[in-house]
Amino acid sequence: MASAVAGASGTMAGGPSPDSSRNSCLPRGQNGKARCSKLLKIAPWHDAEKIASLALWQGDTLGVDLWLRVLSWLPEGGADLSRVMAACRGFRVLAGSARFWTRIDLRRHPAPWKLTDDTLRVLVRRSGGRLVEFRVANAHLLRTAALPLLAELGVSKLRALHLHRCQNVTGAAVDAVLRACPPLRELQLNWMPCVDDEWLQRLRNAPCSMPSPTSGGSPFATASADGRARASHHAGAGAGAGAGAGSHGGSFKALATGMWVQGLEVFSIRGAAVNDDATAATLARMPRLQQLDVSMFPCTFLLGQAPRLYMRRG
Amino acid sequence: MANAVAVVADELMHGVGCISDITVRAAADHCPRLRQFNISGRHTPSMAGLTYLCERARGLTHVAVVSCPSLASLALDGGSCLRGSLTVLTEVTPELQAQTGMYVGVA
Repeated sequence: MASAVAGASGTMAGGPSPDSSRNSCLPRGQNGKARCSKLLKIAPWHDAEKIASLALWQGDTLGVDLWLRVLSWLPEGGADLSRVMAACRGFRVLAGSARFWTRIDLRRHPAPWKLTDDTLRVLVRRSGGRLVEFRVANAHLLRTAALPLLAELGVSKLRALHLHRCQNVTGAAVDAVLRACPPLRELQLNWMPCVDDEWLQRLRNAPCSMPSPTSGGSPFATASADGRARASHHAGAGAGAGAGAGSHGGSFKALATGMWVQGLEVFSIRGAAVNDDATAATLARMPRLQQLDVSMFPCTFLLGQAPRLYMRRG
Repeated sequence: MANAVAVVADELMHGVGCISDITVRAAADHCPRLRQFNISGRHTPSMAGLTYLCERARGLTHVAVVSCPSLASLALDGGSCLRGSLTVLTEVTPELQAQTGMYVGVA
């Protein structure tokens, strides 16, 4: 697929011809705005203007919408898209669009021990703060896994965070994402040394209800407070990642932090050196939990697709 | 496969911790929507705790108790003593190993 797309890029690289520009899907016009209007309908939330500004695409016979459709068949956030991006400048913009990088799944990476923080930073930056899934396994070189950058860009759409046997990723990096109040449904931190009783305690102590400033407080007051909390947090997500709950704004951030714990449906801390007290108290905060994994077995059986497990050669 | 990473003896690297009936009962009390539960490799959960979990979490469909010596009796009846519709995984079969890719990378 990637080779087919790369081969077809020669058509565009050859430059626009008058006949082909008439057949292009892009609306003709003197100014750039007119050309962008149709693109905005195709992809309303990604960098359509940036694509439309490329004169390279204006002469393409297939048109941007068809290329977007073709690229959408490639695995999202995969190596094929990266290869397409290397074909030419037009494909670099098109395949590098954030709409194709909302899911990063490197569990089946052929050489996870080669993954570095810089590599992940590039992938996370491509998502443009719209990441939905983030899954990495067996990447021993990672120190932060680009998680602080992820928290800085925004995690308002992050539904799944899955780190498997990334042994050098620090707890501070994980906490940076969790403090940014992601709407997580799935949290899997398997064989991660940073997951221990203390980490569970931090998870558990995140407040989940709004202390009413005046009287009993109505649900509307709580909801508006939540909105303020999220707004204030997202306004300063990068700077506020390490902030405590000392100030008034800090308490709002702590409040926002605790909201996502109750929404978790999948929680896996396989291989974690945790004890009963911390685990039981944490489970009390997860009323919607559907899948729970606290095992010490080196392979998963229930919770979805298993990452590769590399065993010592016989 | 020359670059295969050896990942063995994880218990020695991370410690073990203690997960017993307290956690099982907490899951039963606080997580009524629980459907899948994996406690493989933990040595202390008892049959009483698992029975309590099955009574409280009515939506429970899958339980994995591989390498749980205290729950060895489940291997005899396949978990039918808990609930008829429950799938209890008590041992790793070769088919399961192949399905889960457990030995991918072995020369």
